[in-house]
Amino acid sequence: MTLTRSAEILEQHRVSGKAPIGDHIAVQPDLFLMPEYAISLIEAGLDALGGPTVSPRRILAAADHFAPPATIERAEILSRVEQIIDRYGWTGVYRRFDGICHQLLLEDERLTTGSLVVGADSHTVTAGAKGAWAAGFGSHDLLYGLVRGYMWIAAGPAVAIVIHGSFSASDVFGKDIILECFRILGANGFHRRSIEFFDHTDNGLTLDQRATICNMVVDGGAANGLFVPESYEPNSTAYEQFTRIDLGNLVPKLACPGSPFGINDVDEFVGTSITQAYLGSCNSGRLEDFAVAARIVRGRTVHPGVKAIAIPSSRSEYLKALDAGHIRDLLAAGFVIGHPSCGPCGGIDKGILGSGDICIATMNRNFQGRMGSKDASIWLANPAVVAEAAITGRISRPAAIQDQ
Amino acid sequence: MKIRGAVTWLGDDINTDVLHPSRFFSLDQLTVRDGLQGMDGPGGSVDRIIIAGRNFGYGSSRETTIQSLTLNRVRAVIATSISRIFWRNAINAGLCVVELPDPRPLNGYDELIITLPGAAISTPDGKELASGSPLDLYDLSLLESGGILPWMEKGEPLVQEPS
Ligand code: SF4
Repeated sequence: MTLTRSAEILEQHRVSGKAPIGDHIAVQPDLFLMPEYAISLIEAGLDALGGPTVSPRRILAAADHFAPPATIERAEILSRVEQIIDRYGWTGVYRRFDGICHQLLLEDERLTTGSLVVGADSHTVTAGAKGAWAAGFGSHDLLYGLVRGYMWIAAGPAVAIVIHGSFSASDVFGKDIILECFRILGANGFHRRSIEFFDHTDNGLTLDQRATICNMVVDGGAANGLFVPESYEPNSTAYEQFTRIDLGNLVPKLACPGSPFGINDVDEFVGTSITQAYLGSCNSGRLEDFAVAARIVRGRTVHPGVKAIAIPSSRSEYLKALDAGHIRDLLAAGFVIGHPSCGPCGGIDKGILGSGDICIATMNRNFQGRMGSKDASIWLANPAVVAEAAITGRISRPAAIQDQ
Repeated sequence: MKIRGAVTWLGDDINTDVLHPSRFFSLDQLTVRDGLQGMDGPGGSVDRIIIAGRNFGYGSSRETTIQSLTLNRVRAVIATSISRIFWRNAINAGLCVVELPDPRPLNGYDELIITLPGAAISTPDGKELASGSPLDLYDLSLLESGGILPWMEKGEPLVQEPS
């Protein structure tokens, strides 16, 4: 493999007969991901240019940020967007309140390894968990793609990360792998790069773990992140940097408030008190996350000083967690269960932070003000650490988690 | 192409949640304009150039962040590193973006001029202080047209290869 997997996918989607413009080549995306807020920004442009030429079969639209709308304006934006969706025949590929667009895409059978996915949301990178080249763009880049059928994209350098071994502790998860990548690569290692993961682990990483890993590459500044097919061997000449991560050495990590690069071991901040624990966002909220959290909270009670919130990432993950009894365990322990949506992650609704709030969350961003007040702070951690903190009111490592 | 503006210095890690929190997302231009944080207030009266450090514009792909800058007459951002999505959104809106590893030589000047394509940065009286990374031909073509929509309307013209 002389090209990196990302470069290979871009080449496979190149529009023949279109000369490059500088470093940018014309590529034809397989899938366009459009959350409702992004659609509302291009209504005028789409109409002025005569509407999309791309078939609805390549589109996934979702109402997931205003789900359901928490303000008058958002309700009005959603109804306008739904008129646009009718007008352009996207009703068959529009998902209202079914979950976060990135999780819905992971569940969509149109997404396969080697797909080229463009999305009007920065966390479109999540689809790399299934081996797709997937990246986030602004609405007007998507407008151009929807009208022309192709987009001008420049490939950046690539970094290879070989993940091997197996977890030695029971409270270490996919989140700790990506936080370890942040610690090793730092901002410069991620900036505009393609991060390519090789799963050489003993037991193989699950799709949920791969989704948590790929989802967060953009928060380090990467262009995209993907898991290469099993058959691909890492060819070190194609990569700018080559890193190995041994799961056996990993312990639960934290991203300390303010920046994704403030990575420390949970052990260094045990005892830090919190006022909110949030299990959710497109980085998490999947069945495995709920299974872990339920095992930790079962038969225990949320700390009186903690607002504990859990939001499944999609309707189907919610139903699975219900069937498995995880929702009951969390509810009985004192959690608020929110409807599948972005919720507090984007400072939108369902658990906004006020000044002085200290939240530990399974989400992907801990920028100041991300969940509301800029005088609140956000720690990022894996679902076990978040669930344990909900119960004890402090950052701590859960006792060994037995697999019931 | 020249861009001239009064300088506003911002630090490192000026991400989109710091610049324009999601509660200011709106289709109403005034709400978007007045949602801009961290600068000396909305509705600037003169054209401005932001100079910032590492990781500028990280975070959301919401274009309202860019709109809040252009609506406050920000015409360019010079920073040590600029997020890929912010970069593309800025170019699409005709907002000039320049990566400059070390902005310190720009210290002490109230007004600057950026000359494309080479991204040379000089004082109004022509003293060159530094030059940022030259822009790609695609970015230049869109900036020359004032953004992606005008570029499409003009039949997607390309400027000549930068010298
Ligand atoms: S869950 Fe958070 S990060 Fe994911 S799409 Fe929604 S707002 Fe963005």
